[in-house]
Amino acid sequence: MLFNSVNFAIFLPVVFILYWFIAKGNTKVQNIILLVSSYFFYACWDWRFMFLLIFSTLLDYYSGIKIHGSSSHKMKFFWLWLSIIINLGFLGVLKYYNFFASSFSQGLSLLGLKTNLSSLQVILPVGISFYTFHGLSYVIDIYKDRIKPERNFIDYSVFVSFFPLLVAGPIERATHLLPQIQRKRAFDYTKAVDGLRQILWGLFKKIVIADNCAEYANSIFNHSADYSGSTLVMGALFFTVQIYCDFSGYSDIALGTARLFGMELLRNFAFPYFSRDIAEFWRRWHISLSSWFKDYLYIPLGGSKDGMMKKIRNTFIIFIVSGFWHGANWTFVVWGFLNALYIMPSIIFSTNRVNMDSVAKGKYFPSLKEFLAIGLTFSLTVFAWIFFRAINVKHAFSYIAEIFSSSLFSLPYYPDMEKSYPIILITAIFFALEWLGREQQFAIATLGKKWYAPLRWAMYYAIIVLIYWLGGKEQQFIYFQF
Amino acid sequence: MKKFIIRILLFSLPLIAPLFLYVIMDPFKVIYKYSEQINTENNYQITGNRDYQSTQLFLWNYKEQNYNSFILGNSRSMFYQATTWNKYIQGNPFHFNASSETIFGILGKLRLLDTLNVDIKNALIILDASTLQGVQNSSGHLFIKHPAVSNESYFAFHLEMLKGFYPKSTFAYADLFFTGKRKDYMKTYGIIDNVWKHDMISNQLTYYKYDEQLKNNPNQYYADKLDLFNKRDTVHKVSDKTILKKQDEILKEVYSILKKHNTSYKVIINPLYDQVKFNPTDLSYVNKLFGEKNVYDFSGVNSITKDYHNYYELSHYRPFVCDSILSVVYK
Repeated sequence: MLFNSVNFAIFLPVVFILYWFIAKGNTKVQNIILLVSSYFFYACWDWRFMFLLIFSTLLDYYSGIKIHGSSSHKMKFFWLWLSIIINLGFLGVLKYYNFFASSFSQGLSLLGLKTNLSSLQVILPVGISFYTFHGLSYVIDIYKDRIKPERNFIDYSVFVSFFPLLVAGPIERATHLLPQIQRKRAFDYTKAVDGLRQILWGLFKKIVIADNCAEYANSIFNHSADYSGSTLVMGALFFTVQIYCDFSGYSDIALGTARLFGMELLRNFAFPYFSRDIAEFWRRWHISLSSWFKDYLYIPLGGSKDGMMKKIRNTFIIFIVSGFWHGANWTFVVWGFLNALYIMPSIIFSTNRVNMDSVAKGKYFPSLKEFLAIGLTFSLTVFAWIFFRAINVKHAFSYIAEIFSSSLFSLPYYPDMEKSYPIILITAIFFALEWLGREQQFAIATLGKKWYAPLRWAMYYAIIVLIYWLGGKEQQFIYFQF
Repeated sequence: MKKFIIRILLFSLPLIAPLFLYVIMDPFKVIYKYSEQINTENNYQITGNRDYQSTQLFLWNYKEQNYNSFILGNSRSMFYQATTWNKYIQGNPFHFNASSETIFGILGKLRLLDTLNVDIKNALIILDASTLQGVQNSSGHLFIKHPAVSNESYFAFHLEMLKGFYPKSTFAYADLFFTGKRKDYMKTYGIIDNVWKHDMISNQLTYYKYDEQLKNNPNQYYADKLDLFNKRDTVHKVSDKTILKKQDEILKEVYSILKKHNTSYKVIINPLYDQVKFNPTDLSYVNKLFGEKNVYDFSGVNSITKDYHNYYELSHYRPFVCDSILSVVYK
């Protein structure tokens, strides 16, 4: 069930009514309703994989209790690694087996050896990368004595499978979400209205901008050999906008939906395309994943403690692993490696924590220096997205080679180019709104709040009309495949 | 909570009203089941989504009717009579056409037949360059594919229908719905004269009103359209090369489904009044893929395209032309 589907438009009000009217403030009943509806939400995609989700939940729930209850360090260590190996084992087999098998065969064929490794004909269970990371952070936190295990299985299951975050995050932490699940929740009008605004904004980003940009990005990337360098730049820009609006739109809908149920999820995006350097970009893009890798991989590897060489090594490791997390393709590995290269100057010169605050805070316009820094960071990001979107590394290199040919200076041309002009205009207005709202949770978090109600409603209707009229053809959320 | 619910309901009213009307009125007949998809009793007919009509009729009937032979193509294929074709194939034909059909639509229909384990014993694929251009779902309420064909969501389908209904034609359809009377201004919104007959088994369409006119007074019929027919560009042209990578993928899958079902198929390239010749590179591709003996090119300058009496108007050739083409194909 997609957030941008009519099924979800029916599902959400039904769960909302059950949660607030039937449960009547009884936390236990509310959590049961959330759990059942979350499993239903997941089963709508493929009910068979629900058993994998339940198994993974049971495994981490039980491992957590065993880790905490074991008196010997050896046993704690055993239960921790049992959970890690099984969780990553499922992820590895279902997501990466075919990739490793084909890469291994190709590697051997370069040496003149032939192998016959058969590929697995399985569908990747949606959300597996996300709920596996939920579970892992939970057992690691218990092992590190940061939290105590959750004894209530229903509460723990809601933490893993709460439907707004189940299939594409944000990747939650037990320390943040579990206390919210355990405590009594009362309906909060302001929070619910804010949630609806965020859902509306997320739908606008996804349906109007991402889905329309996707049509042009797909058309250009899929037939890149037919286009000039300037058109390929347009293709990369369309994809840059698409992936941001697709994923941050999804995250907005997830956060907004959770608010309707009185929960606050971790923020996932903070206007990343206004970053002044790559380190800032990574503090603002897919925040829940970046911080997960920092806490559960970078720091355990030694972080920045043991000298510059280790710091550089660890940075490369987390970026490459993060790239690989996105998918079983060398393109993602190169994308991760490229981002690690980008961030190196900040690491080497220890300037990675220079730009911590919002750019041009309290001002309408950035300074020239800030503007140039944003432009450079954005250009580097666009360049890296080419690898992320390309079918394979060879495709990415041929795409880039054409960009840096003389055809870069020709006028861009792609099918239905005239039809893309309104979308380009709306995207420009969208980024202007993002700029104006960059110090908020999301761009329109406070826009119109102090206006006369009919005017504010007119703004909401205008957004809905744009969604209605300009909605691109329904597309899956990109991050569902990860 | 009460305040929240009341405000939500108030806010939703202007959004729900057109949706409510759409569901109640079903202006394009895409929600409920009807004994007649194209109304023949009234003095008007509603221009509907032909892809939806064909696919839905097929889905309603296929288990009972055991169709095993399919005519696929755009509106130019409409006048190939299932009954005439059946004389050559002795099957159980269904006219599986769509307005502005594309190879995306043809593949979608073949995939659907394949998924439903329908035996595809015979197929007649009617093509021209425009059919080959469409490699993705069409847009617009008249052309978007049935979700079972496009494999896209019903939500996207109904949203496109809703866009065709609201706001531009809401008044016309509401007027018709509530008064039951067809008025002249409604033509603009697809509420047209009663000109079609529709067979709810074979999905055969007949242009009975024009056929009557052509039978009774052909000179008058063409006199009204002569200006149009005389405007043909006399410079003979060739259509642009249309088959690129995506078309190649789609056509190969079409072929593989036909091969899987051991289908006896024929590919006919439309004789269009504009006399534009089907691109030779595309033709050699089609010949190679489907086999030269199965492909019949009637495009360009020939005895059919020279005579306007073979056409209803610039776009559609008449049933007797289809009959003669079939006799050539199956001789």
